[in-house]
Amino acid sequence: MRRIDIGKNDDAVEWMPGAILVVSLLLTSFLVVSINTNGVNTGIGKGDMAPDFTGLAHLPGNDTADWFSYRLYEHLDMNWSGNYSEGVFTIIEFLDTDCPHCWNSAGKLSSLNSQLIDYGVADRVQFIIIAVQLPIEGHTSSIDEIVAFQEKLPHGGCFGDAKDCSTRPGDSHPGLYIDDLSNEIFRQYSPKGTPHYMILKPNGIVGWDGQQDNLDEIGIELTNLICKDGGDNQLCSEVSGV
Amino acid sequence: MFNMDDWPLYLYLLIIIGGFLLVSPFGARFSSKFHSNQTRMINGLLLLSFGGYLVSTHTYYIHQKLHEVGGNSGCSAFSVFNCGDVISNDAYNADPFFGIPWGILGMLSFASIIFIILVLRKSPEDKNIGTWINALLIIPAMGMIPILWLIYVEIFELGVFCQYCTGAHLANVLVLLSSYWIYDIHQSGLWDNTPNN
Repeated sequence: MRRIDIGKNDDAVEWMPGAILVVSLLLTSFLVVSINTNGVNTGIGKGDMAPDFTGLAHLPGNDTADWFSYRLYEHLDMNWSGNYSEGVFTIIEFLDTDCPHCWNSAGKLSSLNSQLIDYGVADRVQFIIIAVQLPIEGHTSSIDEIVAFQEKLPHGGCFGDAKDCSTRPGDSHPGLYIDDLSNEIFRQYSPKGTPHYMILKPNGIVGWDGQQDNLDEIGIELTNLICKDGGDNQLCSEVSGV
Repeated sequence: MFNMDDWPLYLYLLIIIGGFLLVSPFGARFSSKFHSNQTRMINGLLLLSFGGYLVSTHTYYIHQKLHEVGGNSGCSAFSVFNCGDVISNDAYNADPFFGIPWGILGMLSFASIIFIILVLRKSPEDKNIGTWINALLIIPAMGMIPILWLIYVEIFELGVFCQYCTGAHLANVLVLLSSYWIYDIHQSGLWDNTPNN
């Protein structure tokens, strides 16, 4: 490859003004766009905007066949003030009804919900559990199985068809279960596996990406977020030691 | 059909089409205003490419606006056009290999084209002029690959068109055609290599 020696090559001197002009144009354009926008990346890392999704949702207590369309962004407050003592935080969990780890940690959300009720902050949190079907042998789920896992109903297909869903740890789960048997939302979010726990701020920005939450930190992290700016409730009072 | 929310697009299209008309045989009537036909075509191509650069920059601006929390595109949605629906779609709004927004790739492509045109304009006698002209033709030709794929996506996957992206696509097609005319002048031995200064 022939090298162009700018010091000795008159041609290079000829095109240098053009190069300076074009680089200046690019820098100015990026600066103007950067000053006039405040974009955030979409993703699941802390500080990212959680990707939007629309799926069929089921609430505990509803009939097994009673599913409705749910879009995440319609249930976020995009104009949230940034004051952590206001707004509803969203806990998202990806799970597979046949995954042993999801089974073993199924009591976590029930326990967390009970504590939120006890501390009077249940209205500050919404739960969204996205039920996927991992492409692993023996992981065959269904709408009936999802509802049975959610509400602890009799169904023999959980835990890789080895256990009855009614015997899973914890109580009936709070919040919505989203049907993602197609794994569309799972691919969009691309967590490393299941279970995967996340906490979204009221505007959808990821406040905590706990992955499998092996250290059981979800309660502490949620408390840190809810009480970051204080708050008139028992939980934040205890945190601040008042 | 015409929505004043999209006034920047109309301005860019005016620059793009104005530049192309100057390059095209239609622009021959303005030849007396320029040093030669070749100069007229190069200046027209510069104007056309600058319009393409501006519309690409605006596409990147829309991309960034849509990635603000609660942000909106600021462009209109009418008929089969809705740039917000296209550019907000994370599956298609960036190149599939490096994740670079299409707007940035458009900016870089048109900036490269502008640079080459500035070289042709300033140094038509450059001994490497043939190489510069080949590069001028190759860049928009390569640009047709992602453009055709994006049009396929708009028609068959999304069912809507992004009007700003379409403006950038149009600019690329017109730059390709104009570059071919300049390439043809050089190939036919009619290239005027008289220095401009």
